[in-house]
Amino acid sequence: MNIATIAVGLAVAMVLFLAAYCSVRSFRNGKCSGCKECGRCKRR
Amino acid sequence: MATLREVACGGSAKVVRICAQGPMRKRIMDMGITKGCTVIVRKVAPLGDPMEVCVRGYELSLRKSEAEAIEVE
Amino acid sequence: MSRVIALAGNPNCGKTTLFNRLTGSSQKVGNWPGVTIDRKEGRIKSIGAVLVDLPGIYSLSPYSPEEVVSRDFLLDSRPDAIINIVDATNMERNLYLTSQILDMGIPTVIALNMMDTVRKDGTVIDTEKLSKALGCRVVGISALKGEGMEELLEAVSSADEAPSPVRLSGPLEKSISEISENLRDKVPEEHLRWYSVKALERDVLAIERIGDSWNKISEIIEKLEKEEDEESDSLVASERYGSISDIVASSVKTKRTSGSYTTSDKIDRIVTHRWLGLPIFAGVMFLVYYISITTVGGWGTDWVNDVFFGEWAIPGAASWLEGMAVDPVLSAFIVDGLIAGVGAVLGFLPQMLVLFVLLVILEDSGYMARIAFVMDRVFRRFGLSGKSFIPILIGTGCGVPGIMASRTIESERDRRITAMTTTFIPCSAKLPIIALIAGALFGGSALVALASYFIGVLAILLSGIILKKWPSLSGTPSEFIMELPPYHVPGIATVIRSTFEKGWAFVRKAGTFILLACGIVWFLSAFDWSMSMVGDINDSMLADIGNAITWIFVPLGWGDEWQFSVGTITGLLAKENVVGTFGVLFGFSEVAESGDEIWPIIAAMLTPIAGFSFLVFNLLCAPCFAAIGAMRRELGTWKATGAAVLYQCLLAYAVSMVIFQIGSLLIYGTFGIWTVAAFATVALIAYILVSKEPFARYRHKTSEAAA
Repeated sequence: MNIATIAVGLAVAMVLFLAAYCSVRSFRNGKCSGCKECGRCKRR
Repeated sequence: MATLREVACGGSAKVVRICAQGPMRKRIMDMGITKGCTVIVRKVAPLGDPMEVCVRGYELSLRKSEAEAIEVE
Repeated sequence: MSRVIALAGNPNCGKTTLFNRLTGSSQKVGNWPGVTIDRKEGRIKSIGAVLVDLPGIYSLSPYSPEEVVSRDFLLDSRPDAIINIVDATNMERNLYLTSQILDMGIPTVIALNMMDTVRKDGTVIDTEKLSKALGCRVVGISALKGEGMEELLEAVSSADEAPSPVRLSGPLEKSISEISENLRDKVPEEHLRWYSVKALERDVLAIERIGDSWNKISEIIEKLEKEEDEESDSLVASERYGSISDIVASSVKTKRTSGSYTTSDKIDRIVTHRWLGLPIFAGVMFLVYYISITTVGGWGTDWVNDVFFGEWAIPGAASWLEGMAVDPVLSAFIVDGLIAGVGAVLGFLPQMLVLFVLLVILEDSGYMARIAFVMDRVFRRFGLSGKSFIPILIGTGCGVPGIMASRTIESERDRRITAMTTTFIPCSAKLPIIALIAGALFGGSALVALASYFIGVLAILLSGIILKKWPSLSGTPSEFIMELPPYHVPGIATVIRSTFEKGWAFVRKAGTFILLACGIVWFLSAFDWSMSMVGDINDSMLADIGNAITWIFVPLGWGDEWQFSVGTITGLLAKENVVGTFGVLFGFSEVAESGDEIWPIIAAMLTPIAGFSFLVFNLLCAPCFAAIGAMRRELGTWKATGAAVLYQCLLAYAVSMVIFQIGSLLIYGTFGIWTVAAFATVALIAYILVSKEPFARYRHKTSEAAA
């Protein structure tokens, strides 16, 4: 286990954590897959 | 009595009565088709139904079965 | 306490544009209680007020949820003022709603929108005269161009007097006064006119609130009807329009004679032409997919896969990690797991972007409304209306807004059926799967994509018939009265912004869900239960999990190898994951360099017909979690959503099985017990389609549940 491995490992862990956090958050908001302009469904 | 359904393409007619009841009746009137107004039949859709009409200056499409509920002269 | 202002107007009059302009990024989307309609709210910073966007409505009748929600808000939550946005190019019909709003006695300002178009047409509108005639301030604006905004806000800030209502004819006004006398103690002073007129129209909700005074009022109405020889609601409607006509005639000087053809009409004559309409539509859709998948988009995707990943990212990352002597397991995790998986998916971004651009243009220009018109006939045969077609068309981009677009359908039954079946049409996330199967087993033929869409539409139509027979969903077919808005050239800014948002959503999805999923997949596929690395992927944890469920899919032709069922399951999170998973399991990182991708590996594991069966299953089965969430919002209960998902999976299973079994029979002559099962399934489906009440024995159960 050298420094590079630890550093890269930590970086990856952070990225994954962020990814998990974003996923959970948008899931709980009950929101769609990200199309924020849901004002479209009100057009008619 | 003649209904909107029978009016030919390009022809126009004056509405005499709305025979529909309930929500459809409201909807027809809300969209501007009322007694005494003139409706111009623009065309019929490629597959025969619905039809497109011009009423009070704008284009509206409705099914032939709905047009049947509108009496005209 | 900041002032609360309601924004009301017809659909398609630019309300959303105005709302966005006034509230900017401060919007919040919530829900109106009891209904599945979005409630948008935002702050107008410059005047310190809260703006509530009401749904687009043509009138304030008691029938559709949008209208009821608006009525209740205006009467019960009593906003401090109302901005009524009116389309100047369509004034008469828009003012119909206005006349009802003015009856409510709430300070109102009319925002006369599309003034830029009006000027171009050469029409002159005297807003002063209009103001006087309507009894409230009228401000000309162009929400699109941003004109008139200051004047509008100034008018709104100073609006504090109740407007004077639009007067109807003598006899009617007399009856209204008489009714008012009877209601004087029952309703608040400011709402007196509203309730009186609505009572005159025999409005059911108003009658509910009035209670026992109804008898006296009923007499008054009958007297009027006898005198005028016409029903009261018809009288009120005609007279509203009559007064409006006069008002408009006195303040608007138009160059265009009524009934003449505008440019929009001329375009429509060709596009919705009796014989040319359908071929033109087919041609347009073909062009859209040809440009986005085969040519322009396809070139982009090839570049991303071959160059970006094949030459830069993957070898680059691999050698960089090696150079730093990073632990090989971690390296493999990053390169073979994360990059390979996400890379396989991101490769499709170019095709998606082009597709999004084209779809946005189509929708914004107004062409979509024509499509509903053209397809209505076909759809009605299957129990749905042409209006169901728009959510489907939107669903080709992403199923979530597609499902939400089903709200525009008034008939509850049609709305629910559409919400359940919209995801049958391949969404952009499923495109990678299509492209993968097409590339690996069919030589990249465009026919695979065509077949996918065809099967999707067919599934929707057939479901229309089948579901219509399910007791809790049967009912009268929906009406089809729909406005065809004039064509308009989509603004470049809008198109770019929309596309960017969608594209960004795709990338974000890749960087979150898919990244995670691929990480997990890699991990489970690289280690066995004792947490030591495996040499052969078939010894891994994932293989064991896969093998535990893959037997379910044996009749479908792709159950022999566990990777495919695993792919399907990961597809639940996001459909792109199927490809992402394969990217990890079949070694995208190794093959990207050679440009071969993972095709040969798949080709060695599946026959073309099995591959097609796999494709169809993934196209029709339960959609991704986001879409399931959207269905839940539309259908209302988890129970209904669960039932819908179950239906989708069953249908997917049945169709895939039939395709594989009968296909194999025809191509290879294989015959077995599952071939028999396939024929039985076909017979069952045929029976359901043809018989009148195939679900008769469920009638009581579901009507209890629905009650």
